[in-house]
Amino acid sequence: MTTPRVRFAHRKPVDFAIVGSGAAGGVLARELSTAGFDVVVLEQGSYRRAEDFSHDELSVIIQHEISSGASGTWPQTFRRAADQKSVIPEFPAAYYATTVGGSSVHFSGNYWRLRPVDFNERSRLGAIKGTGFADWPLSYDELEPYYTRVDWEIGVSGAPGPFDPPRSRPYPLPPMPVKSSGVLLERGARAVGLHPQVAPVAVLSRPFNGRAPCIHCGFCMGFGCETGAKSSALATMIPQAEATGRCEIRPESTVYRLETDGRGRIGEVLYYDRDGGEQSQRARCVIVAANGAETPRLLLASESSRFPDGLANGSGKVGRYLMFNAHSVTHGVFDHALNDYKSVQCSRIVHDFYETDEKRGFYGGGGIDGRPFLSATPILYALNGLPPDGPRWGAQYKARLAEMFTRKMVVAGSTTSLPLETNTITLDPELRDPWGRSAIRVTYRDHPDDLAMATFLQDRAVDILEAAGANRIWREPVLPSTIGAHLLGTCRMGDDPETSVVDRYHRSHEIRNLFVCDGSSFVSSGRGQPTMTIQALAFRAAGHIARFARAGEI
Amino acid sequence: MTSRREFLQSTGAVLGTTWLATRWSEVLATGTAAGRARDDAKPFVALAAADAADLAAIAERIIPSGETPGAREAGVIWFMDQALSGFMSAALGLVTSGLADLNRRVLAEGLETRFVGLDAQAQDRLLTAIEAEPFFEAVHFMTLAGLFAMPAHGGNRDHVGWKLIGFEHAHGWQPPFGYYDGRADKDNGEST
Ligand SMILES: Cc1cc2nc3c(=O)[nH]c(=O)nc-3n(C[C@H](O)[C@H](O)[C@H](O)COP(=O)(O)OP(=O)(O)OC[C@H]3O[C@@H](n4cnc5c(N)ncnc54)[C@H](O)[C@@H]3O)c2cc1C
Ligand code: SF4
Repeated sequence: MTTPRVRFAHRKPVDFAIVGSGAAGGVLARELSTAGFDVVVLEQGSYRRAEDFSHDELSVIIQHEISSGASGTWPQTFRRAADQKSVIPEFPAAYYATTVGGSSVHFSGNYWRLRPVDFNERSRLGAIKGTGFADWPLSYDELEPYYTRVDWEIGVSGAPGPFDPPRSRPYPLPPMPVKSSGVLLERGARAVGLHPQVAPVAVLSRPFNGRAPCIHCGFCMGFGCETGAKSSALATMIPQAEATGRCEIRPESTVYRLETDGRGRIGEVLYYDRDGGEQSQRARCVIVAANGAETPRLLLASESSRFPDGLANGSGKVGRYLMFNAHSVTHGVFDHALNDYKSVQCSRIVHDFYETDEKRGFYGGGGIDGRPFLSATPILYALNGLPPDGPRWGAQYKARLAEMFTRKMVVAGSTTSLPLETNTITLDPELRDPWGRSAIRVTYRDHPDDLAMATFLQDRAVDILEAAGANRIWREPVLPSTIGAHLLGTCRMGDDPETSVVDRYHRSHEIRNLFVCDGSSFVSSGRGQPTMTIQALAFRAAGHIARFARAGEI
Repeated sequence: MTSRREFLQSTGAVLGTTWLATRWSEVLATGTAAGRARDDAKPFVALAAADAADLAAIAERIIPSGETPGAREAGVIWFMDQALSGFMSAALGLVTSGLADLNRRVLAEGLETRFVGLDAQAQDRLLTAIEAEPFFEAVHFMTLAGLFAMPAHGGNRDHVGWKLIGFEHAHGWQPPFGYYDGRADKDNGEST
């Protein structure tokens, strides 16, 4: 039975307007509506449901049916440093999904918690020159109950590993079946003295809360799940929010400005509807959860005479300290068919190199996993999945294409990214989107330690693939990132209004009724797979925000 | 600016490359029509017949037919016509001028024909000369996309592209998925 959808009047202030219905926005909407508040969620993407998703690689991946690549609609520019001219890249630099449920719809669902070290590594290791390396204003212990809530609220499948941080409750669901890439990763890693473990994923291995389990279709990374087994905000939080009768999801609503009143409070959220018409929603409190690229863009674009550098930007930190998590990719081919194009991306990971080890000579840590990566679907495989040294066309090329698809896997490394003030989201001075808004300009160059760590993990990947018996191995060169799917750090949290954008409860230091909660809140990058933490933060924030609202402290 | 190669290698890249235009809705709207045009052997929409013949010939050198079907059997040219009249219409000029240039090279060699009329050896020689050019990149991309995209987009007739690489399209799968996880002695016991 479907609950009739609630519609709120635009002119009458609702308790909360939330910008963005993604990983964080979905949790906030569900928690606040369940707590009895009226909530409007403004989402620029369309309202697609499980039955609207497809396996059509050309439309979904190449043509960006559900993601930020649609250069006409969501244009972006990229440059490596402030002294370079920015260009429109072939592929969007800030890559995310534009659909109800946000990037949790098309993500791969690898769900790693941060560990205690991620929250206080600055204190443990000391300052790192030229970076904004800092502790979080909260500890792992404080966040642990919320990690556990994420596990049990959305459905995470997994099993404890040897290096895991403490957990107060076991995983709600057993591990996903191991894939051939998992067996091989495990075999190779053991042989070189490492400790492989089950990959935790936000995907159902068994029925859970009325949802069916994963059918291993394989169209997972970059695609929406047709069965709802992927524990996206769309499959979990959003229907529950709507079922309260107090939450309206308003799709195709692109927020372009937060309007402040004479008291320096936000009174109205201005947005374009699907026809480009200007609309406004009044709200007592606004929470921006538009992700680490769009959140700073909106705050910067909302500048006014009172806030000339953008909202909540007294520190000048809005849009700074962008962190992507660096990567390395190493390919291996085996004698028999893995068919790694089936099921989810990862079934086994290696976390032996999580901690910074000063003996390595650089800062950083990371994780390793086994997966098809881009070779999960045929077109991307053909474009990206073959060794670089062979012919690119002709009979020999065709033979290679035919030989490797079922027999290969990737061992991927993901690492820390140091927060650099020079890695930013800013407004492009020239390029405009179809509504006339300034496009996102991404400026990014990895810290040398991040690339050193990615290379270190690649060396381990080669060891693992060799020990697993790969008959052919090749490395993709570790180069400075030009694309990020993890958009972190651009409205960092902290106790000091001089050096951070939001406080430990995600309230902006400057505007009392403005909260920001999404990937932008991160202080450090973790070692990859940030979304488990984004959602834990959102559960925690929602509790505090509800408390403030009840106490009249907003 | 990032070169295409560097771009493809940039491992932060979650996904591979794309062609510039992004009017995906048009593709969705006309996709099935393209599959039908191929099956009914309808005339081309974007391409003149002579250009289509040359383009098809290039595609057939990129993925030649042999013991297994190639670009020809997949009907890749129908995908190309569909793409160039839809989401890749921005690349139509590049493609037609690239073909004109290629045919000038044919004439310059004193050969009295268009590209399609050459023997395979001569075709390969000419293509080797232009393989680093954006025109060749575009045709290369369209050949692969046409071989591997869903048949509704015009190519991949009878799934010949998918069969070539061993990709089976099913709604879902059950384990074991491959040889290594199917073996009884797989060494994944302890950590699960
Ligand atoms: C292909 C891919 C694979 C990934 N795999 C993993 C993985 O395995 N594990 C992991 O941890 N993470 C993964 N990620 C990253 C993960 O998706 C993000 O970290 C996470 O979804 C970010 O959550 P968020 O709430 O910050 O933003 P999002 O989930 O991006 O949500 C933001 C929402 O706000 C909307 N929005 C933005 N601006 C506006 C505006 N002005 N007006 C209205 N609405 C707006 C957007 O359309 C979007 O729906 C992956 C990402 C991609 C792209
Ligand atoms: S592999 Fe499983 S979780 Fe991923 S999209 Fe397919 S059914 Fe959904």
